[in-house]
Amino acid sequence: MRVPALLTVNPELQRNLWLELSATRLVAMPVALAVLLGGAYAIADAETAVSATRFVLAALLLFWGSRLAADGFGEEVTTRTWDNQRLSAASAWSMTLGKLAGGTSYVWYGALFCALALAAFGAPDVPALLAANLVAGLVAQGTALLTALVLHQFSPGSRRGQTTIAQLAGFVCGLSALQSVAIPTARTVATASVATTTWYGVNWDNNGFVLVNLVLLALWLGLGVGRSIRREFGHADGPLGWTLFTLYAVLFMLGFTPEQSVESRIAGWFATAALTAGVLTYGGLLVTPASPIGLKRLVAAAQAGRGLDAWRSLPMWVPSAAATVIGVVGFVATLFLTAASKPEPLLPVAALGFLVRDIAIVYLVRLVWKRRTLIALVILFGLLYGILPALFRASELSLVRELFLPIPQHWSPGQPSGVGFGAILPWLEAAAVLAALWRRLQPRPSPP
Amino acid sequence: MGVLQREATIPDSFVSVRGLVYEYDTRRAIDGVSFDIASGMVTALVGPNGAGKTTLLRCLAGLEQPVAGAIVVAGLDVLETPRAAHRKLGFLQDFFGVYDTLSVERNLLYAAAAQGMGRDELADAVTRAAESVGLADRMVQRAGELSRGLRQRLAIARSIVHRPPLLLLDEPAAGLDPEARSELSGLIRRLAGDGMTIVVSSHILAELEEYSTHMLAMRNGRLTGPRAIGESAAGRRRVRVGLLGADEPAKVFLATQAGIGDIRVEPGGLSFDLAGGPAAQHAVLRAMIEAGIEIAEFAPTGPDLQQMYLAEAAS
Repeated sequence: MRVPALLTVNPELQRNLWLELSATRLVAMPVALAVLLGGAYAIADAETAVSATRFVLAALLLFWGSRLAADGFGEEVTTRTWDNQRLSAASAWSMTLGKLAGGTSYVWYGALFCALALAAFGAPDVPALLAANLVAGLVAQGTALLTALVLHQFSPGSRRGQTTIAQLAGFVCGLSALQSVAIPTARTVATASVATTTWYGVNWDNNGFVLVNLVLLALWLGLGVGRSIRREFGHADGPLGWTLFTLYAVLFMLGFTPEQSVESRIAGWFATAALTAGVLTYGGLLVTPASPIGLKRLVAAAQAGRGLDAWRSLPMWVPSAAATVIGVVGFVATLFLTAASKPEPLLPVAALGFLVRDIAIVYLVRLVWKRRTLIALVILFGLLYGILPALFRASELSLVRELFLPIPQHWSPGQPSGVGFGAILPWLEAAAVLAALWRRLQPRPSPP
Repeated sequence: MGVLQREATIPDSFVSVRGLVYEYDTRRAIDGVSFDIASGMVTALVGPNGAGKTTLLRCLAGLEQPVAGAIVVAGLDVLETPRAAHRKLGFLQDFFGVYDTLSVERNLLYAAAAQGMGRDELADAVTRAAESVGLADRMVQRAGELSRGLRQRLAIARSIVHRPPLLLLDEPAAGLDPEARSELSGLIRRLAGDGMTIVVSSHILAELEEYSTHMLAMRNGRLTGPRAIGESAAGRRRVRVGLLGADEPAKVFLATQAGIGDIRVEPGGLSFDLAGGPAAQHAVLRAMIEAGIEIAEFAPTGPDLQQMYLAEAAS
């Protein structure tokens, strides 16, 4: 019996290589590429062949790679082998590497032949082109697998459409990544000028800046996949990964704060931090299933004063929400201490009330509907923040409008908002939704 | 710590569960279950559909996170260190979960490697597991080409390839023909004979009786047991003695012995309740022989698994 050495190093990687790199497939890929790309070269010219190769390379790594990354996991769930993987003693990180590198190995094998073809056809700046495709491929495949894992949390028993959604998410992200890098072509290579990006006051080469940040994004995606698999494996890690990502995203965005006076810059930092953390709060909220068990565990741990257990049970959006609150408070305080015109303090109070209300709404909708909650939430928030305020704006019922939007009708930033009694309304709404949520969480008696 | 509450002391059993609570959404599937299983026991987990048997097994395997409670297997906290605990257990669920496009050999190699076995152990472990389920001559065949019964065997081999001291089986005989069921019973008896602790959930009580030593009965998320099969609810075992001579001297003698009650004269002998296990039976038998009582037959009887289960259901 032949036992490959890789099997004991990373069993999941070896298993995927067994499945993906069979002898037939190893022969089929170069033959198909030779026919396709050789045909383009023979029929047209080298430039056309380069374009065709670039297209095939991107299609392999982004489109097919996303499919393989998402489908590999989907197949595990469908064939019920995922539970056996959860029962193994392998680490989540070894599984992450095995699934990402092994599950997509066939398209990387094809990419190798595309790279050789690009060199053979005399494509300009092949290393830059390959670097961009490599990073975009990693982003696409990481996004696809992470999306598949996130969707699996919401409906572990169903795979309907999940692989396609994950593949599309991966493809769109990968394509965006690829397009954000300016890859030279035969026409542009001679005239290309060096574009720069200003970050933390320093001018960076645009392509280098984008590539480095895409590599970091791919690493974050890998971390996200690993943390998701750890959760599937029964580890209670808490929201450390998302907290670090929030910190990273805030620090990244702070680098783009424009050069201004010290006071304005500090206020700008707080505003940027609040906005970034706010977006991540809603993002984290939407990708976290509402788990009554998790909430009960959290409440019980908090009541018993078990800090570490409470942290492990904390939903991942909570640290982002805390960062949002800190950002808002810091922004208002900075303006109070430095600016001539004082901001209306009730405005952020109202905004935080809406944040609490929205969190409660997301949990309530998820507990009541259970399926297709994302669509329900998009419709609901569209009503709450778009259609209903517009209707009441038209009817000049300002108090009713403040039920749905904290900003007065004729307010502009820097001016007193005029929010008064309206600041209490979102908190009343939040209290009402929280009360409904509390009722929903009460245990029902077991059937006799 | 991945649990809400745990009792301060967990006894030194092979499997210990304390205060286990599991809820689906807000419906309670397991309601404060506690039990211990000693090493080497073959425990039948019985109960009606929806009683919570599968959920309990999945919790024991660390596949589900309970709301509260503690689970310890071979001294390892399953909820705290699930990966380490998985090396100590095998779990066969009510589906195959094998890789159809891989050969039998590669399925088993992967399963053994994923449980952390070293390269020098893998070949032996795979061969042994395949032989134990009668698949040694089909190592190069793809799993997808096997019959249902053979795929079931492969799934069992995958569960035991790393020689776990605890094996959890959820409806292992579902969908098997009578011959395959008989082979499965034989395999479970062999594994138990090798010292493996086994928990089996099944609806087929007669089959469970062939190899089970104890019973855990589950109903509406609550549990009774484990009780030794043949033992009454009070923990006493009925014993029948066939006598060659008169029954009165034997009856008088037994009445003087500790742990014996409810002595009844029956045709050809008598029967009585006895507290304790095989050691107590041995002591009574020896005492009777030493007292000169002529014994033709000495047989523990008591309720079978079905009677025990129905009695639990009625109570």
